[in-house]
Amino acid sequence: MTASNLMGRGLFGSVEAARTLALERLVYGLLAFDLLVEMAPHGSRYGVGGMNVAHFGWLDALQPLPTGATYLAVVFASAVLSMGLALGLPRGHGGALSRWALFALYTYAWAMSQLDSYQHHVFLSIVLFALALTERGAGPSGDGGAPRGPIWVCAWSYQMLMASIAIVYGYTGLSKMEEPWRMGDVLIRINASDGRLEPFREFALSAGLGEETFWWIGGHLVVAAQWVIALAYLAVFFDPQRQRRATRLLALAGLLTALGFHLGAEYLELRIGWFSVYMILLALISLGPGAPWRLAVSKAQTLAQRVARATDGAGTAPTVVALLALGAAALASASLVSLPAAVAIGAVALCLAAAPWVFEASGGERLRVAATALVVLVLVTVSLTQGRIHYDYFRFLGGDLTRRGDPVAALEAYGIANTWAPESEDRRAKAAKVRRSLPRSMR
Amino acid sequence: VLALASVALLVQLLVPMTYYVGEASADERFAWRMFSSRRAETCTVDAWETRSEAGEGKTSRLRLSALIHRAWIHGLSRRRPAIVARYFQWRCESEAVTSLRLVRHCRSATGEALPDDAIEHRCLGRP
Repeated sequence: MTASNLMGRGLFGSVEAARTLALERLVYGLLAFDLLVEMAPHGSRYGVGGMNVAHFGWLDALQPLPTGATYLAVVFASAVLSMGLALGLPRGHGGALSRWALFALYTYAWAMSQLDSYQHHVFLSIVLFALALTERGAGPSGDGGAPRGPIWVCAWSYQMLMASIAIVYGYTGLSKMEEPWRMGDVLIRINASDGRLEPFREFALSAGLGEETFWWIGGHLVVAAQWVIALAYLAVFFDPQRQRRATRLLALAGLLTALGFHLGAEYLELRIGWFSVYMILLALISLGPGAPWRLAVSKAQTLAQRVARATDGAGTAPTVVALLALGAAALASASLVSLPAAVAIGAVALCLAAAPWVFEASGGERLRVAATALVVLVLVTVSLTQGRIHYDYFRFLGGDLTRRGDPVAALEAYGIANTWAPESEDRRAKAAKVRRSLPRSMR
Repeated sequence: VLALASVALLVQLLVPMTYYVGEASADERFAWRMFSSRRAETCTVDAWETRSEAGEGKTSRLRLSALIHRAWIHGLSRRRPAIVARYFQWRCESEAVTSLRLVRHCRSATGEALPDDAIEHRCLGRP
């Protein structure tokens, strides 16, 4: 069999529709909150001191110096699009446009500056690229299948993603073959920060295992885990229907290993954002059993069909009301969110609601899209105002301004941070310290 | 479709490979080397700058945190090539600056001190 045949067999093999649907919706949903909770608070570091290095030299030549507002505008626009896509918005031709726009915006969000050097953001761009390539039929408009039996579709972009994930784990395994990992030195270093591995080490020592052997085993287990997971993804790439027993066994081993490895990473508090959550989600959908996803997709589609039936005969008035509510919500969002570029949230939600007019959708579709855009806008605004996003943004800004010798601006930033502070913490002590550093006349 | 997917996957295979065949071992961005042995090193960086004042060169230590965001300082301490190059270019924009020096102090994953390494840079066209 030639390489081309082998590749074609993997790419065009039959995949359970429910897996592709669940993966698309859940990844988009998770990404929307990830953008708001994990990325937005770091907006204040952009443009500081007038220095920037993009991830690609040509981007440095093209773009002006990114500022906090530039970064947040891109993050907010991505979050609204991502949440919209998670909720099935917009439908029709606007769907493809939105998926590509999200891929481009998200990629630009990390590529604009090496201030964001999380490798999993690069990985997520690969995921979004695969999702943007998803054709209708294998995408959200397709039939996920009744809970009792799978429906098989050709979903080559989903299959391409399986191969991409295998490549990522393969290279991660390769990088961990180096001596400091195999000998456990890196684990010792990770453990040195807060001793999360101490209970396991003590147990191993009490069981008669030597110190060096414990770290050696730990290092080798981590390396082995990468290879097992990579092989599992390769197995489901080449045999997506899992007809071979070996594929089913490898997928199960891969799932359990991925769960163990990524939950372990979370236990160690490695500060890798939501990377573990994504990888656990991808493993559950791609390597785990299909039945739970068939059930979930079936329930979601039943609900969507009910909504469609209820709104299909609606006249123009409900749509006008929904659009007016959306406009009011956009204004309220811009006023409630006290971060730079907050206006982008409402603007993108309005663009989503306008898509059915551009693509000449039916009246019922226009109402559903306007109502969903309203839900998206409310969810994004609530996420930004109810958590610690404002607090983190302004305390990071205050810290940086203090270090750069601008105590007046730092005090202002700390003051805003304190108004958004969660119950258990604030920056009052830091603000007081900065105030003491000011000349008496300025305090 | 087959050609598009093959090219996409080939790129994903080749880009990380460039790390292993290239010389810029400090640049792990696209190599899927999360928590690599290099990343496990703990490094700090000191910055020195020589300025020409009244015809004489005066060298002083810079407080980097007062100049740039600490994420850039972290990048300098990791000797990330593009960040180091941009930092030198940025400082050389000041006409008085003639040369720059970064000195990194690192410890291995196990905490042993590694030899210091210094990166020197002379601003183009300055004495």
